[in-house]
Amino acid sequence: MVNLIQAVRDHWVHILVPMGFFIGYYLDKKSDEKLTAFQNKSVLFKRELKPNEEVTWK
Amino acid sequence: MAAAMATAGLLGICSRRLLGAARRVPAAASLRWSSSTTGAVVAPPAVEKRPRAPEVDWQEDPDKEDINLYEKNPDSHGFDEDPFIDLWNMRVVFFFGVSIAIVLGSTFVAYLPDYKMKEWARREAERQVKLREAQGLPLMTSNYFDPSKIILPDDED
Amino acid sequence: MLKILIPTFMLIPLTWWSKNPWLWINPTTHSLLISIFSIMLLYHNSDLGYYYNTAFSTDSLSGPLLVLSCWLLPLMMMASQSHLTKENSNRKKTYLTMLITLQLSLIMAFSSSELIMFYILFETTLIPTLIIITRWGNQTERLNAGLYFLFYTLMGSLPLLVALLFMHNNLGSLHILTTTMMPNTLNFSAPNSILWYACMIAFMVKMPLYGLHLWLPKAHVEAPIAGSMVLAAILLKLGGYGIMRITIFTEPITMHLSYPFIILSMWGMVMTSSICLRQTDLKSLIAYSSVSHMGLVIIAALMQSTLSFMGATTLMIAHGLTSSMLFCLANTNYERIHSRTMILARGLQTILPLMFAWWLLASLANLALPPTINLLGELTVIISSFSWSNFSIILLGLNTVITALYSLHMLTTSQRGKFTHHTYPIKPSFTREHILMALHLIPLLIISLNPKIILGITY
Repeated sequence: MVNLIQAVRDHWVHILVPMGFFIGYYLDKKSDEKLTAFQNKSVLFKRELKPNEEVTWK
Repeated sequence: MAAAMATAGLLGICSRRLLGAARRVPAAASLRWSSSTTGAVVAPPAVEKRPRAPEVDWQEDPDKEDINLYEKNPDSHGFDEDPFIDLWNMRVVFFFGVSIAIVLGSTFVAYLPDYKMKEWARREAERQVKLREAQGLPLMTSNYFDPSKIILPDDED
Repeated sequence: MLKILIPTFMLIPLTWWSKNPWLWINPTTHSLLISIFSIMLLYHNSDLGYYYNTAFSTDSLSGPLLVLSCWLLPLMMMASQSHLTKENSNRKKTYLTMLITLQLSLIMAFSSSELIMFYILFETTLIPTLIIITRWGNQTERLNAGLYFLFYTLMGSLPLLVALLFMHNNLGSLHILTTTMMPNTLNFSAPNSILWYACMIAFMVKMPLYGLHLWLPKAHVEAPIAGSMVLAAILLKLGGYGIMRITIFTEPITMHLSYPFIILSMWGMVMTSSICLRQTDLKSLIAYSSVSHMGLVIIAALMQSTLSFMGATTLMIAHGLTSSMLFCLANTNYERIHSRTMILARGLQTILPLMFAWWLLASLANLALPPTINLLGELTVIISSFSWSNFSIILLGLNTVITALYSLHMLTTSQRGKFTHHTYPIKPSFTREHILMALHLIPLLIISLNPKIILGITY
């Protein structure tokens, strides 16, 4: 038990970079969702939605 | 001989002028000056000498102390003094550097889907050419989009 | 893009909070993980590139350069481990922080989708590099070198700032995507040509063009090993990348004004490779060989043909790995001989035969031997410049010959012959050094199996 606590105290820093990755992943996802406001709005590239389709990118 | 003497004298004068004009290059000018006279040893004029900038930079290590990691640990991998840390550093670098990055990374790159869809474009072009030749159409038209499908926005937009 | 940026930023607290014995392992491991993840950036499904959000984008030109800069961070850390053994742990951490900051600004510079932001980060890379050179260089000449480095690049890039602001004012946007879609903007006139020079001179100094290259040998020679590696491998590529980005909207006038620059850089390549032939200093030789190779990239980037852009991108990646490997090798010599003079390191083949194998492979890669991507790059550039002007083959061919000559000169002077007495008590090479060389060389060889991923935007 003590060993485990000691190991956690020594090596907790390894969580930092994966944590950064997940924060980045989350923020990227969020900004992607923000950009979907522009999806299918271009006059040249837009298309008709298929009958049972809500958005073009899914 | 006289001509030679005259030239030598001229050279001497010239070099003296040079010396007066450009005191920054004493070495080359004073050499020529003493050799061009009739052989008498003439002391080079006292020109205050500026230390010349070295042509080649100093290339030695100022701190020559050597740490030999093999003295304490004959199996050292060169990462650290502590054998345990050294071994683990080596393992980590080999695992992530070679096993993952090089081996799995190159496998990943090799099996990526069609890069920039070049192969798809090629296949599609061949199919289109065949189709159009069979139908007797021109191979290409100047319109990429069908002009009848494009609805231009009004001018005030 | 934040998936890479935020983990890279988190390397800084990781470094500072790591326990002392794990100080080197932790950042090395995690930066390797980041570089493994960055391999994702190599894939592109179209020519357009990916626009992650309003600030960041990558395309097939910046993708390989980003992977290269991510790959180089763990290698730099491994290379400077023995160089820093005598420093205390706070200084080591500061050093690592500098490397990571440099990495952050490089990633942002290559992935920024706005040219003003690119400019800002282009300048930001100067600060950590300057600190690395002037604080951890080996000799007092490093201060002089730092001065040259800073003022050459700053003076060169000031006109660029003015030009970019002016163009932003006129065009309304400097976003890379919009500039590619705009019609030609710079027509032939005197003010436009001044604008063109202002755009180019910053990148010409950074590349560097022959005549503006004086900062480079100084900075390379005096920088510590990680500084030399990152300078040769990535910072010079910012110049080529910038030229290829900015020529998109300087188009019609570039054809006219680039002639003197192309000729000068061809001439400069021959000159700098000839300078290599009379070097006594190992690091300085490698630095001049970088100038000579970058001349090819300038030619290719200014010729503006499809093939030459492919060659420029390939050559940037190839040279990044090769020159970095050569600097690493030079550093292993320096750590044993304590001198950069080549003649004092002679006869090392008999003492460290495996190291000689790496030297041989690195020299062969430097002179573009077939299985490496250096050949691909040089060949495409030479072919495209041959079709641009047949006479250019004279200078380019001559340069290729001189490149082979100085690589051979470097190899024989530093490795062959009989060793001098002061080199005798020499420590054997470490696993660390071998894996360092292998991690440079293996990518160089395996990319040539699938070179399309680094052929750039015009593939």
